[in-house]
Amino acid sequence: MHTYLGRRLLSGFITLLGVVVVVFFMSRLTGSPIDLFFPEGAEPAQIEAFNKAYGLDKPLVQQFGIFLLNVAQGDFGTSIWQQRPAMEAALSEMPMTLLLASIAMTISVLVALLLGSLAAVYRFRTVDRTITILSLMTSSMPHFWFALVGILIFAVQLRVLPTSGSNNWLSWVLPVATVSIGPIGVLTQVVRGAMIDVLSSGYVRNARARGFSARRVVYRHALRNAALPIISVAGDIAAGMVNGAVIVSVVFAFPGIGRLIVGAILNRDYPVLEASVVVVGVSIILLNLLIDIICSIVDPRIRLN
Amino acid sequence: MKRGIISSMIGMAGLATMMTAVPASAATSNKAITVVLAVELDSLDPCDTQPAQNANVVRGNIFESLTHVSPVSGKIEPLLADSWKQVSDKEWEFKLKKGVKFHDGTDFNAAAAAANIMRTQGGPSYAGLACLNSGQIPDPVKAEAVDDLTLKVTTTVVDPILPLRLSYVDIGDLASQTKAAKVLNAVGTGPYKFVSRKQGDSVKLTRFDGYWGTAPQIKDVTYIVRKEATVRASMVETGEAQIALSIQAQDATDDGRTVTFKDNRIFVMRPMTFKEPFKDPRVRQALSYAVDRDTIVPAILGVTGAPYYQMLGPQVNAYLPDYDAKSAMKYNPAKAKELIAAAKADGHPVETPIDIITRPDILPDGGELVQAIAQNLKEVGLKVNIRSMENTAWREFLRQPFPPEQPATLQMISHDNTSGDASFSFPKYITCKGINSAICNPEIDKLIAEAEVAAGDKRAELYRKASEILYKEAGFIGLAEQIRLIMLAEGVEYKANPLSGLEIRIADVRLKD
Amino acid sequence: MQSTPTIANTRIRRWRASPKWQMFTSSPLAVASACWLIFVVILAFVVAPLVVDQANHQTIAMRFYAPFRLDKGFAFFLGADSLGRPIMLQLIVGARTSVLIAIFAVSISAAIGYTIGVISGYFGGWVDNILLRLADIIHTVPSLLMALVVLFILQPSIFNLIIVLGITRIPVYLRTSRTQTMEVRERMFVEVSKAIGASNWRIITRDIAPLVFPTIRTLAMLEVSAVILSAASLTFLGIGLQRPDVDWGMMVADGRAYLKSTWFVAVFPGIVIVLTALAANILSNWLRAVEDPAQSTLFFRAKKKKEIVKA
Repeated sequence: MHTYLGRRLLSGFITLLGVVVVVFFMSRLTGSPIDLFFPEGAEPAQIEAFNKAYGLDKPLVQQFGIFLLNVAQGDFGTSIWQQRPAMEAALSEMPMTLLLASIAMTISVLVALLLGSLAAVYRFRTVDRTITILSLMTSSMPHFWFALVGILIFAVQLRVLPTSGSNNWLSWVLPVATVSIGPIGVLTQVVRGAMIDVLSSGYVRNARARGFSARRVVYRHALRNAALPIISVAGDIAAGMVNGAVIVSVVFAFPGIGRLIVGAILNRDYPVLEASVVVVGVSIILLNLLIDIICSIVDPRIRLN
Repeated sequence: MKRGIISSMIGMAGLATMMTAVPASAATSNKAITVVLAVELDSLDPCDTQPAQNANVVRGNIFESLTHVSPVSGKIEPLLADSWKQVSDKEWEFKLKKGVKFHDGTDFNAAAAAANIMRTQGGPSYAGLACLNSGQIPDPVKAEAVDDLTLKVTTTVVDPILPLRLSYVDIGDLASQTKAAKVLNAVGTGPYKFVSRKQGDSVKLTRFDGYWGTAPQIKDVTYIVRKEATVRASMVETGEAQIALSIQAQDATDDGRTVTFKDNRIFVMRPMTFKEPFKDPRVRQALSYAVDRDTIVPAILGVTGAPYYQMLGPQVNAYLPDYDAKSAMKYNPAKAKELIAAAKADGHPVETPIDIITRPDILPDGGELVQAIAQNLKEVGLKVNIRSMENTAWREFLRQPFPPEQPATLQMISHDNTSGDASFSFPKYITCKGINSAICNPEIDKLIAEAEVAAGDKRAELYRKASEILYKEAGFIGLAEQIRLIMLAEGVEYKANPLSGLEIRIADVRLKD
Repeated sequence: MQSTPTIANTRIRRWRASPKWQMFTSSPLAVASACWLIFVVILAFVVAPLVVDQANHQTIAMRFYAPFRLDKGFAFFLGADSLGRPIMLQLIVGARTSVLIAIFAVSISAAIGYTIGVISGYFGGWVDNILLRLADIIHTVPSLLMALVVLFILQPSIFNLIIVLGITRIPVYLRTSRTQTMEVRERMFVEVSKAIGASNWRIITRDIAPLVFPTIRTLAMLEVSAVILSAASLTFLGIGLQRPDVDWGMMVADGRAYLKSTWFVAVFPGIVIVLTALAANILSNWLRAVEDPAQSTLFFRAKKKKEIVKA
């Protein structure tokens, strides 16, 4: 187990390094932050001083070297735009995104388990067909459209929910719904498929023959074995939730790393962009690792190789 | 015994200070409001208050300046400076107001004022500071404290509008001015003091009880940001916010809660006169004749715009009062085609593609307006491409130098000038060396150079002459005068004025009980 | 009296009788989805070039013309947008953009992912490691963010959008084909080929690739829907395309400001996006049902009531 962990962490680290390199060079290509922070007609001397202060006057390769050195010590530089350490900015926004993704993930999984099981148990009947069609529809809906329609109906017409922000729990409803709607669709289908496989398998029939109630069969045996594919798909989806979080942060002005990254791109804030991408990358790598470990716990048949 | 006397003396002195600091008619309350903005504040430093996103929050609330443009008369008025006089050609003396305190309790005096003026300009002792206000003082000035309440300012060139320039220098406390780093804890002399700022979320202010002027009614203010114009308007309707800025025409209500104001902000386009097809003034004039302002501006901008033909607003001294009636190049597509044909006959490649450079947020509903303009230009035979980009990229096209491999550009600009003086617009935008200038006409340069050192009517006359040449040469083509909208919630009273684009003084906002 | 046309007829007749076709025609959903997609493709490639000019023509007088009226002609049946352009025609031109992007992006990522995946899975070793690493790198950064950064640098154009979407989706195909290749590689008939002395190239193209192909094909179908949604999200955020290029996501973004008063400007393109993505999803479900009938609800009637486990 330990060697597996070690190996995975190492490969994750290498991947992360690659991501950081790519982001470094790509972000430098978007242009210099000078124009944003200087008034029109600024003195060349001021511009020079600014460049010096942020190390922008050196050739690109040298900048990269310095950058690597600093990152090795955990220093991502100071945000040009926000005047505070870049890593601090990234770490301060990540919790909200993680919270949003966790809540959305939990709700998605619970709803999908419920609907998927129902669909599997009542296979081929109307219930099943309705659920399947609904889940196909929701996984075909773009986040932004759902968000806009949600705002239109619930916030503007019915006045039940706030249009934006994150002050009270009500303002979380639409953002969470937006991020979960796609995953609910996909997961419901996966749960349904896995449950059908399990329900029609030999040992379930055995359990039924022995007289266990259907409910016990479903919950005790079927779900546990259906868990595996569900968990691995859920892992893929969790990573994709960051995409949903970006849209949510734009449409609902919801705090989170998505908003920070968009802002960093628009403001040419290289340090914050790099720090944010690293934070997101690390989260996703750790998440994938966690999923793999959970999968191997749930089903020891999977070798951790 | 002694202690008792001393403490009662302190008590009385305290009472006295309180009484002088808070004048009689203090109708203060404990009310709080929320203001929703379109763009987030990016600096709390008093020397960065020029861009609207910062000015909206801090000017007139946290910070004040020595002088102030009156929203009513448009003339320069005393604020933190009681009076001033021009001692000699390049020397000015300012007498400062007594008894003004900063939010941290320190005194406002000439030393603080001088420190702010010097720091805003930058220089060797403030390397890397990059103050956004520095552009307001193009020629360096030296400020020194003569005594606590007397400030001496020496200019390097003769500058009749120095007091006007100083209205753009906001005053922060002395301690912050000695540092070369940006101020993170804003301390000023205004009616509100800074409480907190959460990046990407909100800025909070609270009433300053030691303010030298009339105490404002509202106690706490929270500023939040929503990029969506519709969302801002909805928030005011649902009561989530009390004031919303940058409202679009389609969200405006006609129940008195939408207030309008004009801040001499004009939407213009700037052709690149150094490249074909814009080298020939006839093609540039055709640009003006091609745009059907009377149809597209009211349809798309609604109450937020009116057709316009000049570069600067009516309150600026370079405005030509009879230009619109007599010489404006109004919609006439036949004439436009004629001019283009004439230029073509003289050998100019009028089919060269043109890039229209604009931003998505250039003005409310600006995206559509630019598309309509592009269609108008295509209808008279010009080849245009719209390139909408974000702010930083747009600024790169705005400023010199203009690389030769760049195609001819038509830059869309939304330019405001609330100072009343063309000195804040012309040198930058239409002189040969102006950083944002795409035109070089020695006559214009000469007139502007003369105007800069002239005063009063003579100054205005010289600027107007420069305007005439500019419009004849079609160096800047006016499209629409922008009318800005602010939305208020039920029970909120605020009288918008021409400065509201830059300052929203919460002290001027009242809540009905 | 045997003539060649009869042989062709027999072929057609045989295909018609095949289970695949039966399954297809007996399911109204699959037929409807296929029809819709074909309809969209026809609009995109046949009708769009004819109506482009009229679609982009602004008429201020027609601004926000309400939908469901025929008095201004068929083109304005779905109303007009903020610049008086007919929404129906804009949807058609947008269809061309969306279809082009979907087809090319999916083709590029599938082709590259499939090729690299098979090679990587077959040869293993350090080649495999490096390629997997690269795929991981692309996969770790959420696709939207990567697209944001890249499109920020590049000029907005359909071509750049295709490139970005194509590249960011390679890892999915790469992983799948790699895993399957590794599994197929161990099978008996491959060993036999090796023993005979067939070259690597032959083994890959003759034995392995054809087995992996069906999985990729199904995956690609599913991905079409995902690409359509991603492209719409990017243009909605305002990057990737510039007028007069138009696609459905951009239309929703344009109509966003008018949601309260003239809702149809944003809602119609949104509906079209959902319908098209849904159709692609349903068809990919059908493809999977072909391979594993037990999984699918939509394409079978509820015949076998005995097997249902009652709760």
